Amino acid sequence: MASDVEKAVDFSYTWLREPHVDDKVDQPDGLANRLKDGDREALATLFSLHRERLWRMVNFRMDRRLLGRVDADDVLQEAYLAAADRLQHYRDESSSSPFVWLRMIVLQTLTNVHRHHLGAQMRDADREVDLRGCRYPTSTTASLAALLADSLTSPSQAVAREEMLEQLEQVIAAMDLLDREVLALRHFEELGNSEVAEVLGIQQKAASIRYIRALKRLRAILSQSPGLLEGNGHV
Amino acid sequence: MSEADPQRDPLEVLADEFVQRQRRGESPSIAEYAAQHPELAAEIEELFPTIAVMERLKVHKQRGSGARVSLGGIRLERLGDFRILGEIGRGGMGIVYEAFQESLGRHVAVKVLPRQTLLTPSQLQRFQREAQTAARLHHTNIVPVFGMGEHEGFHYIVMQLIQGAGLDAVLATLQQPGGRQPTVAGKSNSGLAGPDAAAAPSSGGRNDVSHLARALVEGRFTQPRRFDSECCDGSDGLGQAPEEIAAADQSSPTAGKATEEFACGGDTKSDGDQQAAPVSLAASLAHDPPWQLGPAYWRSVATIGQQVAEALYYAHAHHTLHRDIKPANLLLDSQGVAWITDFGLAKAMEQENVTQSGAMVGTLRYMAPEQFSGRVDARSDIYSVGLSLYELLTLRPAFDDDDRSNLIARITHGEPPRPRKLNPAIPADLETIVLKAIAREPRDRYATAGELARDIECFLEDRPIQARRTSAAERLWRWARRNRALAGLAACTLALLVAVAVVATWDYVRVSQANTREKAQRKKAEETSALALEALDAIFRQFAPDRPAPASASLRVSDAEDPVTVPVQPVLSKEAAAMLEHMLDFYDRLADQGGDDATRRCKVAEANRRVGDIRQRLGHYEKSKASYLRAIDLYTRLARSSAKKMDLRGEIAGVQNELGNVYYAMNEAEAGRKSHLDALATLRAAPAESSASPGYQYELARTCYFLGKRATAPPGPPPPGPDGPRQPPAGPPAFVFDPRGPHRVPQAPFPLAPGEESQQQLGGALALWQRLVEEDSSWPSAGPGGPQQRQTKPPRSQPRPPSPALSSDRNEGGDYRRKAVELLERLVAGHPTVPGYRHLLARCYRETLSLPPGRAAGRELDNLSKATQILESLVKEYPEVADYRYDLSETYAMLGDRGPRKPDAPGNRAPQRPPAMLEKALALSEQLVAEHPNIPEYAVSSVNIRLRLNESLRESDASRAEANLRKALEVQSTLASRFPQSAAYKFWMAVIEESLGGLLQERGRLSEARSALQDGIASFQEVLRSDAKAGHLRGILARNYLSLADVLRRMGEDHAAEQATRQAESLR
Repeated sequence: MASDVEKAVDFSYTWLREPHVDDKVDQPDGLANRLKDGDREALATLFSLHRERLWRMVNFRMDRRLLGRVDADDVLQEAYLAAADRLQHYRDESSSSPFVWLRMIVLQTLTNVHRHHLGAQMRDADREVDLRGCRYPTSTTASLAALLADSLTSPSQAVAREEMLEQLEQVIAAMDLLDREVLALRHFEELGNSEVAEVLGIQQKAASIRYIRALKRLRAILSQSPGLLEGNGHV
Repeated sequence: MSEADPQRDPLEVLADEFVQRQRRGESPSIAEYAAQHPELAAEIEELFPTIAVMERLKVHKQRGSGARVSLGGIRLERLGDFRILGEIGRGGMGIVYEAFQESLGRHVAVKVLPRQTLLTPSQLQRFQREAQTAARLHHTNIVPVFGMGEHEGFHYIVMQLIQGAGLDAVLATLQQPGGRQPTVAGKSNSGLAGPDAAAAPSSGGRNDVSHLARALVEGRFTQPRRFDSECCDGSDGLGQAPEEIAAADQSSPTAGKATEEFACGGDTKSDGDQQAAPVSLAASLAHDPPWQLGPAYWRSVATIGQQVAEALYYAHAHHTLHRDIKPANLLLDSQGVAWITDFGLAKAMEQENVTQSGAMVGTLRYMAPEQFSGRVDARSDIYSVGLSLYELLTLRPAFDDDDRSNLIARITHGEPPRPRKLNPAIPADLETIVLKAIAREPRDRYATAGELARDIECFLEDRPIQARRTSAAERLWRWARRNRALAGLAACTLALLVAVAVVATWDYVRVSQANTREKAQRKKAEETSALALEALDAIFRQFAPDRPAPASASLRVSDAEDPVTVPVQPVLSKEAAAMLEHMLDFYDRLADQGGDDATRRCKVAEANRRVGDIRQRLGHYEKSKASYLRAIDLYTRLARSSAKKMDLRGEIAGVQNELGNVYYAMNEAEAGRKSHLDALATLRAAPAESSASPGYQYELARTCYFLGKRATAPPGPPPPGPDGPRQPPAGPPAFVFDPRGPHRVPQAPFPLAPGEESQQQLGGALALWQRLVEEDSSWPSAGPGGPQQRQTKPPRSQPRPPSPALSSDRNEGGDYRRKAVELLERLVAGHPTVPGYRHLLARCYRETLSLPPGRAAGRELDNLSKATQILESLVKEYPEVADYRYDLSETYAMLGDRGPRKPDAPGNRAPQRPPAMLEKALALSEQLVAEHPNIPEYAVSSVNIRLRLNESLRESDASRAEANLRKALEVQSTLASRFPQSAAYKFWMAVIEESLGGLLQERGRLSEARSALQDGIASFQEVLRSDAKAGHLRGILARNYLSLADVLRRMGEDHAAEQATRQAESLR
């Protein structure tokens, strides 16, 4: 069992490496096998491969109230230590692919962080239903609505932003739970279709269809609020 | 990665591909996709824009890719009276042209708004109103508005033409390594949106910006030269003529005519009475040296800040907010004058539903957090100024997010990195000013722009600024505390997180070379643990610095008595103790590791030493000693087995010195002294080449300092007076309160009448000394009276009379001190920038006091003033280091004490009357107590100073004396309640209460006097209860009773007075 110092050192390496091409050469099964063997290097590799996306996820799913106090980086650091601890159990949990396993740990860490900081102020009603054992500390609805609301406000209309935000939240909340989640996973966590399927516990085909459906729903919502949807086709 | 799974919805596969390409930075076209997949075209056109929206919510890969202001392809040539000469720049709101006003024959700048901008009459009205308000502003640093108008649907504003560039253009130039210019020009009023903004092609313009940048960096702006209008005539706009001249002119290959004008106050032909600037400017443009940001640059930036702040102050006084301060709206002209432009227009120009994110982000970036909630006031402008200055200093925006939503979140909740973290060369004061201006809470910023301007002025004049900074250690601690709350982890991991944070914040990517992975990894591992230790050391020093107890340990409780010595041990706060225990855990683990690697073993030895340090601070002296001994052992073995002998002597000596301190704390004075002497021997045994190193010299000085300090008896027992040696007091030695608890043995001062055993030890040490002395005659002579006398004195046969021992010990101590001073003075001369040397030197100067107050010799006053000088400059240079101020206040207090009682006494050369010095000391001390309420030494010191101040106040200003005492009591009782285990604190409280009682009695306020005296009695009794050996104090308590009796009698309560008197008798 690695000492804490060594773990901390390992973690710092994940910052030092850019996800190199040769890392990807490592077969996905190869990585999983090495993890099963408790190979700490493999964990570091896994981490650096997906660090960016995990960072996005943390940012997306962090309650705004924590923004001044907690950095996504802090959460990742802690999650790393937790993952290192859990590595010995990877064998038992290896029904998940390495990335999804790691993602779950990061989520749990994030949830703990929220609980620690917000405690009673965590609004239970807003938290998502369990999805394969993952509880999200903040609702996807809230995060998504916030992003949309931010995107349209001109500076002096920030007051209107609050109202807009409420409206958006209502409307997005009315979307189907899984649809909404698929959108978040694909866009804000940048998961691929198969990863989405694994996380949500559905077939790849179902995940694919859901995504399209979700896009259609979202479009309908956006077209009702002026200014959210751009007319031009270029980005 | 798209898997060609036939199960997947084909539309989804396409969408996936679309989004991946976007994320890679390409710009896939929806129309193209629709064309290539006609069967899905309808859905593609329906859904892909939504995809785009989602992606856009996250990250903008291209900056400023939003809408660009345009006039719809119309080329303007004339707007009424104004002949358009050429475009200068474009910003979020409009395009700025240079124009010629024919009726007045002058050049102006004209900002033209796109036709569709002001649609509604209300918007138009607002626009007009704002323009009028702006036009009323007359200030050197605000671009004057001349007028406004409308022409064929184009609204425009006429302003003064400023020859210079927007700070955004200058910044863009400075950000280019090597001083190459970006593709932006900016000759005059600009509303540039950044480096991507299109501009009129004008090499003259480019050169202008780079010249401005250069001038900024060098802090030198040139003489004004009237803008030559001829060169810019012509319908082609700017730039033609200069290029032609540039081609022809060989002496300045890249300079154009415009450049010439900028480069020199006269023509380029003029010779040397100009500085070398013109030539070097032209030359340096040719081969792109990197921008060296030095003191001149910081001053330039500060000057800009000052001008802008002044202008804002003026505008705010005229009830006008700007609301959109950003580098693009701050112009810099060729004379170095800063101008604010576009006042108030932000409000007028706002558009509903601006979805053109690119443009908005440009403005958003500089917005104050409260603006997002719609609450704007003067301080929001201050914030924006601060942010612009930040960018000028660090050459990058404070909030660098391209992602709009993240940007807003970061602004409202996050913090930008400290400027000095990005560039340590940035002056600390300037950073403090900027950080205060950009505080997230408006109330934490400067309240007015005028205050900001003043603080900047202070900076420019090298005066201290108002804003306060936090020290690096404080910040580290706060980070650590944040993370502890974050996880509720064991503090060991907390410490590790600190270490990792230190690592993670380094930008290793820059350093990456083509090392083999293994070696690099191992090296990084070592660096990490080295860093971890450093980080922990920083925390350690924050919690348990080597802070001397307040110097005045003696207090005259009444004029008749001998002074009572109550030295106070440094006391740790609960939090500090807890933190140290946690750190101990980590160090312990590290300390137990073995290893063959020399570096590793060294670290382990270091860890042992740290454990010893922590134990010492916590008062666990036995364990501390054990750790130190282990550290010494490890170092010694390491030194023997490896080639690095030289380095370790310094470490070993350091530990030996600490061991000495521990021995003294354990009341083993002899062992302590021996340890210090061992340290001396260690250092002296080092070979010549290492002994020259400053670290070694410093440790040597430190050793002498300790030896010198400990050789003198602490103030208490009276020294031999001119009437001959006196017998030592037969009673118990001066009582020492040990705050660790009543069960410890009181510590005897060193050495009054050394017994046989201690003499033996002393002899051993002296023998060692002897040997060393023979090598170098500059060392203090060994033992009492020196080598010669040692032969004549019979060893340990008679009890030595204490006074010669005292005086010769004092001589020896004096010799040590002199040696320390000598070493330190050399160190300071050779390394003037190291504060630690100066600090210790100041302390050494201070230690030269051995005579009691009132009998200061001139030389000792001299030393005190030297100490004062050093400390004053340390305080000035490092205002954030509280301990320098602490030492300074203590020194002032000593000066105050040592001054003449009677001003006309002969031979006294006090620089200032004592109370004035004490007042200075008090002022500093109060500041410290306010800033660091958790540090007991500061509070104790402030109480001591107040008490001494009272001695003179009693006569001169009785009411102030009373207020003074009350304040002292307040502080002291806080101390006593925070540290209930410290009998010393209670004792002092009792003393103050008694003093107060006496004072009130004198002023005739009898009932108050009674309660004060009663409080005093109660406190004294508590003290006596907690430490039975405090018999010495009975006398004081008795006296207290007598005073109480007095008061009671005067109040007519004779019966109670009788009781009190009886109590007093029983105590005697």
